Amino acid sequence: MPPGIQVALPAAVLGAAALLVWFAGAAGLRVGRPLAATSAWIALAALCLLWLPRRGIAELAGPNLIPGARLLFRLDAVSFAFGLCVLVPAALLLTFQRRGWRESGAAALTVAAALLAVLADGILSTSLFWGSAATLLLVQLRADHERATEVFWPALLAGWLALVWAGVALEVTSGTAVYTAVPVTAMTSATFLLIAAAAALGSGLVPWRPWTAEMWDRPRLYGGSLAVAVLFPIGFYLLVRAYAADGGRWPSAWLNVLLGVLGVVIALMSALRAQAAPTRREFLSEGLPGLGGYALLAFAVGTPIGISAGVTTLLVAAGLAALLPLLPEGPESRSAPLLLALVAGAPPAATFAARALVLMAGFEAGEGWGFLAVAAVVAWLLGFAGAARAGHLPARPRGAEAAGSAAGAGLAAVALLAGGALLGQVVSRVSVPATAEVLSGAPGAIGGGGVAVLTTAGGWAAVALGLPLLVLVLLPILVSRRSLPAATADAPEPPLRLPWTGIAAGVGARLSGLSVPEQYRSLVNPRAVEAAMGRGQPLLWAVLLLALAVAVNR
Amino acid sequence: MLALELVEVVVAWLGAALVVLSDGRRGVALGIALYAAGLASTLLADPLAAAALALAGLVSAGLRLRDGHRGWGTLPPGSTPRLLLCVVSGVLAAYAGASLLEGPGPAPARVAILLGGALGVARLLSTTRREAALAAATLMTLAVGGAEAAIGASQVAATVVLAAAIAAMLLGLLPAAEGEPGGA
Amino acid sequence: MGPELALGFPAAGAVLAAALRRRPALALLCGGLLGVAGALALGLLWLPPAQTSFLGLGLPAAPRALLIFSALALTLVVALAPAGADRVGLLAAGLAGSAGLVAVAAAPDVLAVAVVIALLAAGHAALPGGRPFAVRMRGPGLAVALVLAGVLLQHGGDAPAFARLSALALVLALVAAAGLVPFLPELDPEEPAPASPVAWTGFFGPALAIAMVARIQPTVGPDGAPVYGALLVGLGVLNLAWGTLGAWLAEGDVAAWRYSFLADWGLALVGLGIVVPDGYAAAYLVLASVLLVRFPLYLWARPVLVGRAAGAMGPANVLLAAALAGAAPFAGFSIRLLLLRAATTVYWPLALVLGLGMLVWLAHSLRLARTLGAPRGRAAVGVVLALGFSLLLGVAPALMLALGGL
Repeated sequence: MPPGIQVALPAAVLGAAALLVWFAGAAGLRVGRPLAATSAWIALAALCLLWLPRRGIAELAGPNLIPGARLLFRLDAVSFAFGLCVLVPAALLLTFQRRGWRESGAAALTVAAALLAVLADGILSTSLFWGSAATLLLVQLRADHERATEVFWPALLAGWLALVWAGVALEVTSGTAVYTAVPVTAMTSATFLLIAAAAALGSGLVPWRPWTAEMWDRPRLYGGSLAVAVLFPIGFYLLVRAYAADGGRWPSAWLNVLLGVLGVVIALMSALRAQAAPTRREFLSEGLPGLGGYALLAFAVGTPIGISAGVTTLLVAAGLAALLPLLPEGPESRSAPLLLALVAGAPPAATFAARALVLMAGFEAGEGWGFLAVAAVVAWLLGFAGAARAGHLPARPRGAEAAGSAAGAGLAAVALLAGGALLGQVVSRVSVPATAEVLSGAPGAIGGGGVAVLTTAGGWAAVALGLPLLVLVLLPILVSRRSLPAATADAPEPPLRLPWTGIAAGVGARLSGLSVPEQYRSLVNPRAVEAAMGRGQPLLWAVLLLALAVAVNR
Repeated sequence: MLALELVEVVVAWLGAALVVLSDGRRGVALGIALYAAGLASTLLADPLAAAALALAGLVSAGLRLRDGHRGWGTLPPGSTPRLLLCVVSGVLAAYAGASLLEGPGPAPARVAILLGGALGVARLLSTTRREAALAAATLMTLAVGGAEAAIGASQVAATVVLAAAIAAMLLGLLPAAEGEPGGA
Repeated sequence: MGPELALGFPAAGAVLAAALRRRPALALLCGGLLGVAGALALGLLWLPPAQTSFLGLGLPAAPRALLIFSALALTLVVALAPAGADRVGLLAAGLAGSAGLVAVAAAPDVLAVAVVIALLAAGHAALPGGRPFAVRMRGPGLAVALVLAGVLLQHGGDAPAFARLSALALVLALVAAAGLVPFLPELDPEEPAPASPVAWTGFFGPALAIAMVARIQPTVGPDGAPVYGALLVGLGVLNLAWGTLGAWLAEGDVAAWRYSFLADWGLALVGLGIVVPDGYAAAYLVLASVLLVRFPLYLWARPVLVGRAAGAMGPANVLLAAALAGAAPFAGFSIRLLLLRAATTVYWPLALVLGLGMLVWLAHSLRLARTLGAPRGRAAVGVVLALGFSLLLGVAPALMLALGGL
């Protein structure tokens, strides 16, 4: 048995489950959904058992991908944290969402591929499994409905190509693209920008409406929600590993600023779109992109608190990725306002704590990061405004199937609340070790104990900040016998109108209306050129040969 | 000697020109035969190669007499551009082969090879008739064999010349009638 | 006498299959057995004792591997041909072509290659087809003329201009033989696949290209080498752009398929032009994927392309689209990895151009996948096998490269 084989165990469980599902399905046994769900939970348990007791780094070397580049896997604090980000929402979604046996088998295989992408110890290895996961998801998405795939597929493919190029560029300059072996001087700004582009496209970290939000436009959510859950963390994984590859920092300070500003812009734009959403589903679709902006800001800060805050935010985002698609969309639920508030970041939820930690990282970093943190606060406030409005919106657009499972939503909500309450534990056991892995020197600036997060500025607990507020909000709801007012036929006016609504469609219409004027078309006519080539006109080929002969002799 | 070389080249040119200018089986066959004879006569330094190419040309010419348009069909109406092509190609090939290129082989051989290649490909690119295309391909194949022989005598060269000769004969075997479309 | 057997068996098989045409089962059996024998003879050439040849023929590893892939592709398309296809005709034409390709790979010099191309061209043009014989011979005929010109210029003198012009002519010969831009032959969508120009681009071309490059590259010399490389890269980028955009915007699906072949060839030409091991390896893998994946898929798409079946977009079609788009974990992954690494090594802006072309690639992949319809029976088996080969090329390229001695 090759050393480090245990690293592949969680993915192997999922892969084996996928095979079993298909064989069972072919034999007429419809056990796909429970099998896939069970395998996800077993994989999660295996991951925790492999890492938490001893926290020993394990590495597995596979065969050559291409000459000079090996398939490599590594289980350390970073891959453990991101493994949680992939497996937790996947397990919840596979358990509580309805899907057929074929879809369950494909989903299990997809989760395995995504897990291997974050266990990979090199850019090229990550690109193989990331690309494979995207391919599998494309099949599942298109098998159900084609909506949103026209945004998803180009973004993922472009991001994947950028990542591949970054990987080969590192190989050319330093002989390796392994995260932990790349020399500090090899990670140039150009290479990092390729990695950042891959992360942005792959995780939907763009100021306009990303594919992670477009997935919510599909009639059924089960395919798109899985795509978001497993692919969203991978882009951030690349950015975190880039710290390790460059000796604890990104190649240039301006890259930190650039990505920090991008993160804030994403958070703001997401909040603006959310508060103007026509349906509750569209409001919820901005939940993850908004949180992604916060995570990006946190990673860009680059301090131990920043990176820990980023990892924490991603773990919270994982919970959100499971919660949002599981929210019931049936008759008005009395818990809807509470759930919407939790999504928006009300204490004592983990969504509140994560955002607070990010802001704290920004303020403590100083030197302009404080201004970005203030802008992030504005985005947060807009989120609350959007959440308040969303309670009066129709749950979903016409033609969309009602999604959600009360049990699943309940479990995810409890997890978010518990995460907020136990944030200290999450920070100390997961985020801080991951930070220590990528930053040289122990991140003593942040720690966790029990329910509180401890920083140099002092300790605070989300529970203490929010539990009284939660009780104050919950009590009237539970005591009141009145049902909540139904969603109004006309959606309430958004607090802020989006000035650019319709501009994109208008620009698109103008661009598609452009054409070469009639009198010049003969100059730009590839079909005519091709017809001339096909007729094999000697004169055309003689002229071509003459031109080339002159050109090569100049 | 110069007169002899001139005759060799003119014979080769005549042959290639006949292939270009003729639409009938007799004209095409005579063209192939003349070209092969002219080419072979420029390669007498390698008698085996010359004999192989000459024989191949003769056999191919003979096979071309089996089918195709009856008669000579030489200089049909509208063949003025082809005539011009032959004249210009002849001049250019003579200039390139005799003055520009320093090898391979003797100048007459170079000129004959260039004539076969240039006129053959010009005929192939400008015709839609099967027998003309086959004749053009035969010219080019003989020219390739001639080039191999001109480059130098060796076991490899002998094999390639033999292969070119066989190929030229095989091209002569193909019928002149177009086939019918079918299948998927 | 390994090379002679590798050449003789498929040639005999082609003759027998054509002669026994009126008894299809017997023709398929005899032709098939002789074809398999030829493939085995090729395979045995890896053993030194089998490499001895009476005629002094030699088959280098890379062309040999592609010849085996050609044989595999032929087996797939004949055994799993769609209903209504002329399997005997496919087998006979394919075996004749395979014999020709063995001759090309074993040819001692580039002039011998030209002779074989002339014969192959005539034999291919003689197949029943929509376009006239002469029209179908033009591309390969021009290739023969260009080879001749190239060799004459190579021996024309010591001036650097001769070496450059020679390299120009020889590279253009390769492009003309494969039927690429700027020597794109006319395409008749109704023409039977064996007689169409796609047969050159998708079946004859790959092994021919590797064999020609093996003959040309050592002879271009220091003056011709820059022209050789630059021209291959330039024509590669041209074909990549023409192919990807053409496949996206083409009016007909047959044309779209043909353009998709051009796009693949564009990558191959760039790889051959970047004269580094990674580039050559990428080109080899591209050509292998053309033989084992794209060409068989094109033939299985013919029923939809000629209107005998309906297109479809099921999960299998989406998977095919991903494979055709070059996505991981299929063949495109390793090809893109190697090609981008080669381009970055030599000149990084080229990698940017290639990346943009690869991105445009996905615009036509769904369109092509739709033309495979809903595969059933033999076609479904064929699709699975094609995907399997693509997967093998993507995740185990080292194995495929080792077969080619790379």
